Amino acid sequence: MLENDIGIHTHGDVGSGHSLVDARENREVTVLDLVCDLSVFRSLISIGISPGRKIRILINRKKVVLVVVDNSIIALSKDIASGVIVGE
Amino acid sequence: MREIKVVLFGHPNVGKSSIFTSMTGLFVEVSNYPGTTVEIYRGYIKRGDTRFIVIDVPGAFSIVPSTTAEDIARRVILEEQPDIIIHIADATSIRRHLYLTVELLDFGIPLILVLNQIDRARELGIEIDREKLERELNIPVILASAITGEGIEDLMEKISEIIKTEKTATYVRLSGSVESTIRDVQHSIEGHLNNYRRFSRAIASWIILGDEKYQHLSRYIPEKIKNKLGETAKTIMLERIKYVDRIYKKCIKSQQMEVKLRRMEYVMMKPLYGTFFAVGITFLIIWGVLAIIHEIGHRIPSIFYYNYYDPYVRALINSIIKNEFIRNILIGEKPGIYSSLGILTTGVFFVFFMILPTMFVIYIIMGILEDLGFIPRVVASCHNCMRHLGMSGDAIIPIITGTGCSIVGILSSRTLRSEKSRVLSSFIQVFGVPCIAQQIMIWALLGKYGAFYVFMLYLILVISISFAGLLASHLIPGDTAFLLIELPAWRKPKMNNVLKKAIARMKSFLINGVPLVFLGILVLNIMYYTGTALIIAKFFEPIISGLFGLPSETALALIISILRKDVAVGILGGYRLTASQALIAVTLITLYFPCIGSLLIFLSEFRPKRTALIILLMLGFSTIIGLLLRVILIH
Repeated sequence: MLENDIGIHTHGDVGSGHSLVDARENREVTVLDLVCDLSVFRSLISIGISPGRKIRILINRKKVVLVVVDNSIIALSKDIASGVIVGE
Repeated sequence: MREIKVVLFGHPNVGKSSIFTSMTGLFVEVSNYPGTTVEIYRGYIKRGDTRFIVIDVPGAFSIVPSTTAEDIARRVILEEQPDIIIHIADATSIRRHLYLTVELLDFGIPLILVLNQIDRARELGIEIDREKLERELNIPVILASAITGEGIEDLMEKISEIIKTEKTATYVRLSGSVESTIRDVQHSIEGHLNNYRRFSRAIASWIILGDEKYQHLSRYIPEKIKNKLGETAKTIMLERIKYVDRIYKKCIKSQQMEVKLRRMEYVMMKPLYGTFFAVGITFLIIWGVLAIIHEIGHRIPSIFYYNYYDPYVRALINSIIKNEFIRNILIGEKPGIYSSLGILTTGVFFVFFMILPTMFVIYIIMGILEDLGFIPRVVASCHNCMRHLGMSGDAIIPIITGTGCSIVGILSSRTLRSEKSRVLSSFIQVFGVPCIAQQIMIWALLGKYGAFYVFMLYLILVISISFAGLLASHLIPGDTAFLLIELPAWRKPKMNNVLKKAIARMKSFLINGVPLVFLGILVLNIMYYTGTALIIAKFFEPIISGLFGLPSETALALIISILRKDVAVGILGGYRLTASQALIAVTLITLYFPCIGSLLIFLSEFRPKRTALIILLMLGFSTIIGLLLRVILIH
């Protein structure tokens, strides 16, 4: 078996970052890191949420987070959003 | 004549179908991909001595699939081996789409990038240097708009040009160590790819990226290479992102855009009442239009049926068929839709004067809601609620689709990421979501007793679904899938596109559903005229009358509901039932057993063990609910 279920950290140092679920609404943040398994990592990258990209939080509610990435609105469940590390 | 195959590929909701319709026209072939049930559209264009076969596949965010529909989109490329791939991307958010362009380049098949919605991109102040983008990607780039028709002719000319030059696409070269690992994997698996040998580089990258479909080939990869694949996967993706960002900066100038949510969207995202609001609006639109259709549209065909069709067919059959048994099978022994059942009378009325006109309207509304961008918002809104039932928000799509026909609903669950969500959403459909044909019959039957009984039925179904869903979510193992979807911009639906989808879905019902309706009526008639019906009714009398307080002949309707639930509800119209009995009978018909079509599809999609579990749950819940209703309503 290949090691495709390992947790992936894209950067070593994300000290100033915090999870997307803790980000405030209407703030623009930069994606620093994706801490998740390979399949989720792939899904995030292919939908446009990747390290270095700026995203704006539209809604951060109970189970769903809505963000703007490159003029598009993406909805993420909180379990996924928790692995997206962002910085101001 | 030369034949050229062209595959259209792209993210969901990118306007792929609109480009497809603009290229090929309204009438296209819809087929299920061999061995699967995901719809693939084919259109044909003749230009000079060349016949172009244009294939529209399901939307995919990546070439490494995370849903069955995405897997099939990729399989079309692998198995059809097209001459050209056209990547349809959204000109208003190019950067998000270029990652897929880079993935598609790996196939080595000539690729054209079509930037759709260019008119909207210009309005938003997005400037695209097309020529520079062409040079950077080394593929043709077309600026297009399916709405205005801009670029469609250019696209056709570019396809013809590529065919003449036979220029293939070249993959994006990554850093030295990554390229060396891809090459190592490529060499290890090359000898085991049979017909797919030409795609060895693409398949090597998919293996590294953890594509489950190709993990069986990893046994040919030497251990020392295998050990570094996890790290290489990450590097491949990040290097591709870096490449995309570099091209984007060079070729596209975009002003900071203010994307705002509408008030309605804020309301839809409220944790509890947002869900009710979103689902409520969907059903209100559907039912509101149906009520109008029933009052206006339904009366016209009914007038045609009673005044022209019915007398003509009866006179014709009576004059040419002397055998009473055959005559009764064809037109029933008494006039009237429910007083006796005939294939050419009741059957034709059910199908062509009740179900099909209403179904067409439903499909048009669903198509408009899809194209409008409303459905993905319902998905996001429902996620919180659906999680309690063990599913992700997108499981609401097959359930809504299932109101058209649960067969279609079960099949559309293939777009869901997790197996658990697929099984649960399919269970909910066959258990408590009546198909539209059945709903039409329910409105006609229960509507006679008053709107209160129709409302009561839906309330009973919602409560039943909630309890059964909760129980099933604990019995079916697996993780609840996460939600990750794009909410496309609101846009005006393109009626050509909506019409095309509605026609395709109607065709599917005509082929798969209609024969079963006629078969149901035939079987019931034979049972009735041979006396078998009476024997069955007597056999089940203790359960039907004793437990549920219904007339014994209701057993027949319950049995026939396995064949067609709409026909079964229609049959109830011929019995003398009180309002409470009608409500109990319709509830039982809906809940106790899936119709044969859904059962077979369920069995083919999921394992027999799961199907057996679902049937047990349905029988158990329907018995409890039937008993409760009897105690409350009949005493």
